[in-house]
Amino acid sequence: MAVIRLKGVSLYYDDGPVLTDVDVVFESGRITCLLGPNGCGKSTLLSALMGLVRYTGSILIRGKEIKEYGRKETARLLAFVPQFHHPAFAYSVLEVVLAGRNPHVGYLPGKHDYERAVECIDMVGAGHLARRPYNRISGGERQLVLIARALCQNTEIILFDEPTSALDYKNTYRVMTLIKKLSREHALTCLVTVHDPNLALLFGDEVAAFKNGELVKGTPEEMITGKSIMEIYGMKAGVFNNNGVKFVVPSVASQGRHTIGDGYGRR
Amino acid sequence: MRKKTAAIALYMSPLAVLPFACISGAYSLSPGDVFHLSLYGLSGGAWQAPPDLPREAYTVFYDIRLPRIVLAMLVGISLAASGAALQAVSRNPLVDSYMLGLSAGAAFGAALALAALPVPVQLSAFVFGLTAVVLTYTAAYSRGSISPVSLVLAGVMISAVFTVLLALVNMFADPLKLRSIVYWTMGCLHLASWAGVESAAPWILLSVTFLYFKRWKLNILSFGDDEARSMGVSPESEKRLVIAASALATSAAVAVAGVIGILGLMIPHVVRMLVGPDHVRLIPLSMALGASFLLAVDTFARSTVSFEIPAGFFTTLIGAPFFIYLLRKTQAGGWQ
Repeated sequence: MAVIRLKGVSLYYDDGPVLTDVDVVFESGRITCLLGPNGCGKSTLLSALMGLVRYTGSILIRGKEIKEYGRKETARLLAFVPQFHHPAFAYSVLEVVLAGRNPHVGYLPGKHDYERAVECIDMVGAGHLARRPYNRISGGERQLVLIARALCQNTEIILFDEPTSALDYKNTYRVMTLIKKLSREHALTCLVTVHDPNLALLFGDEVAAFKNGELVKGTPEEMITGKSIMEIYGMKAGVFNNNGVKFVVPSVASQGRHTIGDGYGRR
Repeated sequence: MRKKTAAIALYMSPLAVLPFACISGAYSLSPGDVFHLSLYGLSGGAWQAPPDLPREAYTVFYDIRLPRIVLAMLVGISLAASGAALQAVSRNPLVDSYMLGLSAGAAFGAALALAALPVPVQLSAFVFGLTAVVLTYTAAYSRGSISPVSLVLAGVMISAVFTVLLALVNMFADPLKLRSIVYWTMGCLHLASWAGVESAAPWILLSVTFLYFKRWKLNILSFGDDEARSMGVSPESEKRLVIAASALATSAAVAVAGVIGILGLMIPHVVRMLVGPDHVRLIPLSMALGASFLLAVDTFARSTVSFEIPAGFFTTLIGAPFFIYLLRKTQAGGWQ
């Protein structure tokens, strides 16, 4: 079932259009990985789904235009996991997660809200961190806490803005596995922006990619091919198959570091 | 558990200071005198006080000391609550309402009224204090939102402008009036009267009650605009209301009590160190500690020496070393 439907959508920032004429449908209970080069409009698209970007066309969430939802209503439909979170104050992990209850809180959070927050911290496997200050835990743990906060909003859609960008190799897979598990167990619709096509191949039910300013969607197998990587990023890459597990290797990797340069313009 | 004990102690602190504030001062009253005087007042004059209690004790207690106590507590509540709220919305632990240009604007307004204009000092201070905040807010406002950094920077600039204007007034002011200007800019609780309390109390009580009811929202706002939006809060309108309430509370306090420094900055920090940053607790506890701290400092100021030392002198002398200590501590990794 289509939960999110964009019809002829163009998104605008102050200095002009970011995306034009986007038509796409996101299905319920599926993980869609969004791929595209830096600055192509991935994050803008997520912001637009929360009703924070000026647009023309139609963005329907559960059949209703996003503009027509109030801010609190929107927060009960969609939760957002930011890439980073810099706390201004030394809140405990529990306090950070409890903030996610806000769309359901009238005046002050009640006992039920605390219980839900604890439950969500347990769901991401961070129960032992609940009383620790958020600014004293590691980057991987912080990402888990932000996911717990999004779960606390009790929404059916969660938007992840590059959840793995700041994480090490192990935590990248830990977080992506968690997203997949949560999506399956709680029938969550997840939109995840990622930079590594391998993550999209491994964890995506679907892949939506920005090719020359156009958003194209398909299965990971259809979308991640050598030709398609060329169209998205303008670089060569090969897609290999090892006993049914597909993976992408950029062609520069096989030619040694001298062809890539050392980052200072020297070769 | 430790936090709970600290919270109870903070809530009780005004009650602990109050008896000392009642008995100490240039005209000293014994605890027995205060007991009889309080019952006399509470019973509406029906209570039979001992006949040896002099007539002037009534005057000192009811017309001088009590309004000063009430005003010190109100001002403490107002500065501490608005400091805590502004630190939350600006996501900056180094902010208080003075940093929005308010104190400099109010000081200029008061000086102008004391030295030249035939308008009441309180009114002029109140109007110029609020004007400075409006200017700061307008200067920092761009593209439908207020960034914390531009708010602080604009505040520093507007403060600088009013400080120069204040210096200009001081240069041309009559030396006798200059003395009262200097007193005013360092806090003037010694001028407390029931009239002053009546003019400030409604604004202060209204504004801090508003901040009290917004304390959960302050948690959400302190996560930053984008995250606040994604959690169902409209940061633009909520921040505007919080800034307006804080400015109103502080302007009213400054108008009757002068510029009492550091308190709005320091009290929320102390409370945060004791019970954590959750604003649901932070706001009411800051109010309690603000009230008891300013009352204690003022009691100290009026009982140790025979002449008046402005309360701002002591709050700053105690506050500044503490704040430097805090800065050093936070570099060790407390805040970003």
